[in-house]
Amino acid sequence: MSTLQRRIYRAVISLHPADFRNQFGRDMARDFDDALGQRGFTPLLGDAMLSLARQWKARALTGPELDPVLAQSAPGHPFLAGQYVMVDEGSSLTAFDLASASVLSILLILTIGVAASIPNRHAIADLQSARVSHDGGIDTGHNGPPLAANDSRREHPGVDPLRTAAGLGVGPQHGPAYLVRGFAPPGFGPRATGGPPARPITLAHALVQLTLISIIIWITSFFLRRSPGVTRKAALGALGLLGLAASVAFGQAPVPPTHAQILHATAPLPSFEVATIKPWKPITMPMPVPVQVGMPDSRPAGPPRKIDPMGGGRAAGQRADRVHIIGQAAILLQSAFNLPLDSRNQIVGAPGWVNSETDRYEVQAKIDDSLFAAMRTMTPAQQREQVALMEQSLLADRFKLKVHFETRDLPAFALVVAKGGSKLTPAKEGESPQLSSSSDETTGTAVTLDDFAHSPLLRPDGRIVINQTGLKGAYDFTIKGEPGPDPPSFFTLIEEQLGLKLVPTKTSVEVIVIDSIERPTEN
Amino acid sequence: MKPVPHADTDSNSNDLLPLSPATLHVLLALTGGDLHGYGIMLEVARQSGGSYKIGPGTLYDNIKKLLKLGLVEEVPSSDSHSKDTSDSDAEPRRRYRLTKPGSAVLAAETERLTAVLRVARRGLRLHEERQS
Repeated sequence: MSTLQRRIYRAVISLHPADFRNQFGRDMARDFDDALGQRGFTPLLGDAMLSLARQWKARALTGPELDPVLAQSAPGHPFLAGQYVMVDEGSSLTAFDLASASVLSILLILTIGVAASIPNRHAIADLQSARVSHDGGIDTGHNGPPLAANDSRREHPGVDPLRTAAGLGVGPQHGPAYLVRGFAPPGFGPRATGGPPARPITLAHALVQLTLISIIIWITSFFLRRSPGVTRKAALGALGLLGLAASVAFGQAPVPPTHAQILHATAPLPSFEVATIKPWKPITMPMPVPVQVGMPDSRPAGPPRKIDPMGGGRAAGQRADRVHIIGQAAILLQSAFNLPLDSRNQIVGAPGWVNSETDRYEVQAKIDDSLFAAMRTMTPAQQREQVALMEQSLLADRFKLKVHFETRDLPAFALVVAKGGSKLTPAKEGESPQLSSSSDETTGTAVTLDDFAHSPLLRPDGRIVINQTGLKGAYDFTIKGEPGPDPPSFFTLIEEQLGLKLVPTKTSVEVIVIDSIERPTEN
Repeated sequence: MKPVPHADTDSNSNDLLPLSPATLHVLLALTGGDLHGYGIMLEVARQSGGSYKIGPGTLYDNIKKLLKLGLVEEVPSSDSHSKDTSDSDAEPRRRYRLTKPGSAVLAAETERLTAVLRVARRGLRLHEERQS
């Protein structure tokens, strides 16, 4: 099923009056998904457009609640055949008005749909989710220091990941997977303010929008020539301007992240100058007793090293033009395709060793000096994209990776505001984004709910979490664990302490389907 | 705002006639039992032999009005949870049920259509006789 078709249909649903949308929008979307295969997109879109016109017409002429008396039939106007009201021909909309407004509405919707579908690698890179840092914290900043990750939950298959995420499990310092990208040109600190940058207009983007704007203006002027009434002129002119403004606005507006999107290469992949890959063997050492009560300590031995948290996310002594990853091949896959950690259900067809706890690799790579110099002029999002593309190249070269992409409906969670409302505190001015987890609590500082939804904390089994709270801005919060014989789940904790709730749902998402992958050759 | 009239009398039922094809088919689809939106769409297509299909937009336009007029009602979720979802994780779909007033309106419309058919058949027969 085309994601664009779904997006356009949902956009039409979202344009319905709020009461109708809230009552029937979800079911309309589901029915569309079910019917699309049999009915085709165009008839269903036309049907939704007619519904849109009927609902707004009814609302505009009768108010939010349609007067039922007006809805009743009259000779020649059958009940509910799209004729909700009787209209005085002398002072109301004519069929011509409705036809012209419908044409403009359709053009507007198409403009929005096309504008929203134009690939923009910068925007995609901005969707990269929060990463768990090597010291248990999470780098939530889009412009923050290069990522450093430690997915401690992979180390403890017997531990409830929710409890672990809540800080009730073992400490994160012994995790199996380190992901340290050394690239950190000076001058790029944590995200300051304002969220993701606006998308720059590319030439192709501008041409498409100019064409659509021209069509809208032409149609508008055509109708205006036929209809000299002042009211009609004003109405059609306003619609034309609305279409124009919407087209431009959609080109400039940042794409609201719903969930992380897979990074697609659109040009020859850049490569590391040199890279080494070797199996990584943990050194057995005594492990501290986990804090979690009643849970078996099934951890394999973790890496013996302690990475210095200083240095912009780099390991101590690591150069800025180096990439250092320790972990399963799945970690490298997630990093290379811009997936959040623990997105394993978005990787399909992987052989067992890709996720195996016992098949870990240490990857050390160096970025070419000239490329590194060029990257210093890029935005952090562009830098991350470049490194990810190099990792894709590495996977293709050394792991013989071949993939294709599909869209599938996957189980997901919707992050919503619980009954009683949000208990979040707006972040203070000037705070740097930070999400960290200690042994007994998780603390967020200046964290947006998009970042929170993308963090591994909310993905107990790799499900995508979609932020549907509607809450904008950044927040401060603390989630305190409640250790004991029967500690509450992380779901319960965030509902009680943050006023947020995770609701099971399904969402259509692009997945990576692995056609072939081999264990890497050592060098 | 005037109160919503519920079609619970013959008089009110007749006031709502004639029904549009979409409304008629939606009510007709629900005579077979409670259905969710997509089920109604499929049933309408089935009952019409595939010659008449409604989309979600038309369907919920009509459902909204029928709910307001009390001709159909939403089935409580406790009655339908296990039946209405293809995925145990997803929220159940809303199901709709024909009410007694809805049944009365449908019966009145059927009578009206029967009368129309009777007149139409007689008119056609007379027309053919004149032609011959």
